[in-house]
Amino acid sequence: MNSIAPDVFSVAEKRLDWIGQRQSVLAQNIANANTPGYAARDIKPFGDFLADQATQETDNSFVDTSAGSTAPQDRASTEITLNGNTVELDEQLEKVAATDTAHQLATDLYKKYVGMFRTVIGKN
Amino acid sequence: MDLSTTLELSARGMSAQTTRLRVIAENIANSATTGSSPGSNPYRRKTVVFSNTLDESLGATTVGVRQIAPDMSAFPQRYDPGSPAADANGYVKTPNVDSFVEVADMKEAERSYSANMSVMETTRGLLSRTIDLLK
Repeated sequence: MNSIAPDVFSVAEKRLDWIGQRQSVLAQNIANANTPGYAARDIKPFGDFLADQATQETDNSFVDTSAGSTAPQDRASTEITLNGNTVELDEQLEKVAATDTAHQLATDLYKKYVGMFRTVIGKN
Repeated sequence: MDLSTTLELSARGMSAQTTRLRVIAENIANSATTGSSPGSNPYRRKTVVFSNTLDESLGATTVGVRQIAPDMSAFPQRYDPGSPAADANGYVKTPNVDSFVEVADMKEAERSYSANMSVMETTRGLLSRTIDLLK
């Protein structure tokens, strides 16, 4: 991380990775909206995710890529149905929408950055 | 776990809800099916039990139908001595299907199905925007 240039791309990559993992976890929650005893899950906020990546950078063999199956329970969920399910469809769909917006922002920034390179090297 | 896995997860959710709708349709279609011999049992309502299991090929937990279980609640009885299923006192056992319960269940299945559908649409959007980065 000596120069700024590779940093933007790597942060964008991590952001997209995080968004992909979150989308997976939310999809699991919604697919299990009627499964008895299923507790809604969510992944760590992006800041914590980045911090974890920084500590794991020295040894990549321990990076856990199966975030969905190990994602912690979402403690903010309070509504529990009779069969012990804590998935609230509205809340989950709202998170899906937020993920969609975050992804739009990340890809737009990425494109803008690539566009700056294009301007410099004179393509287009 | 990538976005294609996410699409698969939503698809599994939709197929589980489809099975549920099929069972509801079966229940409603048979809501008047009585037995054919005196004192025999009528159609018994079926219920779907979902479970969350680990799919090792996907590396994620997915939803599936664990079993289609019979509803063991008692059958209501109706006085109809003319029916072939009537017992010695003229009562016929009718199916333990409550059409209000089935319709409510159907609505819930529909809602869950469309929630999975919209996750799928969003995921497809994420995928296509990611591919657009190459342009």
